[in-house]
Amino acid sequence: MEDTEKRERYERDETEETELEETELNETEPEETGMKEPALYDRREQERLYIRQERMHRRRLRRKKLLSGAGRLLVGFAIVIIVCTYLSRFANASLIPVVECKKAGGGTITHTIKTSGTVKETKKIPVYVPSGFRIDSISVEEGSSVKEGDVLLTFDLEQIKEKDEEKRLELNSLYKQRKEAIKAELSVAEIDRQISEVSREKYQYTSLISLEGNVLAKQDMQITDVNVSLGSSSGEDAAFLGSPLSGKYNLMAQVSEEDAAFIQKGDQGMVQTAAAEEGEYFEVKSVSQDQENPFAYNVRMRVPAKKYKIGASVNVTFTRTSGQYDYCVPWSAVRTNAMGTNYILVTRSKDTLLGESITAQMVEVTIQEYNDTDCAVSGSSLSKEMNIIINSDKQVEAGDVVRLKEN
Amino acid sequence: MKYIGRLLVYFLGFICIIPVLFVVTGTLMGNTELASVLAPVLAEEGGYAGWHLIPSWPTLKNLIALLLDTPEYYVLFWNSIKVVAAILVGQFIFAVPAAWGMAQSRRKWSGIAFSVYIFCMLLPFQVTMLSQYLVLNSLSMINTHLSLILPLVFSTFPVFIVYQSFLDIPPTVLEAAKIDGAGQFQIFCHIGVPIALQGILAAMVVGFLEYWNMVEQPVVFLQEKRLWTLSVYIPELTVENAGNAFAFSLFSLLPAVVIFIVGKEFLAQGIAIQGTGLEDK
Repeated sequence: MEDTEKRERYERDETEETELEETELNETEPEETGMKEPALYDRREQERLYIRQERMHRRRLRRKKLLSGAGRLLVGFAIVIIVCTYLSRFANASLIPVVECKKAGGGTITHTIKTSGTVKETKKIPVYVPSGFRIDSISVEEGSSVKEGDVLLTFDLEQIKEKDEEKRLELNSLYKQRKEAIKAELSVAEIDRQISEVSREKYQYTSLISLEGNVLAKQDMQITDVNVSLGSSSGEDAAFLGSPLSGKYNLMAQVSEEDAAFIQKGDQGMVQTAAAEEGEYFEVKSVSQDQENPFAYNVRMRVPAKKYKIGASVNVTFTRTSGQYDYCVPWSAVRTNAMGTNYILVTRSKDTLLGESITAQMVEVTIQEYNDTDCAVSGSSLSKEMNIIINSDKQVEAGDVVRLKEN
Repeated sequence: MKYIGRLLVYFLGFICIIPVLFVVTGTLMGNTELASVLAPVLAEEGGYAGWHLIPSWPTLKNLIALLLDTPEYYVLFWNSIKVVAAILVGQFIFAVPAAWGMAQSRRKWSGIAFSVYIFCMLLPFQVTMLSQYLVLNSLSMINTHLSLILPLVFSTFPVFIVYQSFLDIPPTVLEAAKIDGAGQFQIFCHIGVPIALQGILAAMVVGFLEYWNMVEQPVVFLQEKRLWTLSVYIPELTVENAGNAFAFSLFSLLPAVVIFIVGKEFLAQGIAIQGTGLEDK
């Protein structure tokens, strides 16, 4: 269309020029003929014509100039628009958050509570040793296991021997007294009692001497308390407290108040010692509030005495799986607005000016149960068809246009 | 007296361009300023909306945001260009020969046909909307750009204008061509169209301005937003996006302004020719 327009204008200009030439030629004509009056008239007329045509020509030139200016304007405008079209598309594409989605689905919430526990004895038995002896060496310490016949401590042998000698002399003198009493026909009952007492003591010393001053364990046990000290004399009280190596020990683990809600009597807890990677499961016997710290709860389990040492620290893991929930989402999908309302964002395709676009839509939810990673939610507007945004590379707000991550 | 008249003309001209000035200054205002002057209207507060002819804190933010960060604008822009260009090309193909036929035919029925055409031209779109919708729907053209293009390709208005231009061609010129051995088609192509070109271009420019601004057809015939044209889309005007809306309006106006500047000469001449044509009749 433009071509025809240009050609037409060009042709018009050409005809104009020839017209001008013709008028110039015509100008000379009357002079040659010598007709003055009409020539003058013609000249004036033709001058006027000439001026008019000149003016028209100038106007056309101006128009031509204007048109080329306008044409340039049009082309410039078109170029700017085309460039900006691409630029805006690029800018838009780079600003759209790319999101990862997950189909809404149900599931369970698993609570895993990790804590450490200590093995404690179930009952203690006292170990008495003969009193009044200096202790030369103590062979056990708190926590050591002893078998029947193992040495617990050693008394000063010299002192025993001295005491044994004392008792022997005492016994000798008692026998003499008895003989004398029989001779004098006096009652020997009192002396006999003394003799049996002293000889019992002497027997003790003798047997100690035969063991070279060692005191031996009478049964398998684990020593929990040592009440004697090296260099001092043994007393009347129990020298050691021990716990028998048979039966079961208590395993006490402390958990926080909120964790305690997920542990109850009868649950299974996994116990791991540092050495053994593989854990064993034991039943929880009781969960009770701590006496000193009201925010802590003590979990008691029973572990076999054969495998666990008293005082040993072990790792305990409790796992509790909730009932089936209709909607479970990762924590990263749950957002909170300024009002404190929890919501999730779901994708919704929307008819926009750029065609079918995916936008994020807000769905209010209530948190039912959660653990460190997942969250069970409920909400009246939730449905199984929803695609929940669980992750995005940029901040996403409700209503934003988003792009799905390509797998 | 002469000056008073001129002043009056300038004054009236100024009044005419005030809305355009509003759009330009609105585009250059920041959102805070717009919010403060438009608050009575947009936020439904008391009082009257004010306006600053010179923005207090001029900013190009809205313009840049529109040009570089709003691909939506370009979608609409190219939709508009596509629709308008298709309509104008179609009109050139169909309306010009139709006008030629009616202008040159001396038979009785052509006069009747032209009267029917004029009658059709008088019918506003709102009247024919339903019937157009029904036809387009049965042709499965609803929600396509064809639904905008096709009815307007056969619009009566360009036929009317070009018809007048063809009437202005002196019969003697045509007779001369005929005597020189030109056929009907040759006469049409080499004599009719070049002579009436001013009128045809005027019809095109008027058509461009009209179709660029059409609103009812896209709203009625298009369902998907991605097919919309510029004139339909005006961002929902709120205090937050007032600047955006102004920039959008300005840039919707620009192509029409450019076409007007380019086609101003044809428009004036085409209409002038038509005027004399009507007088001669």
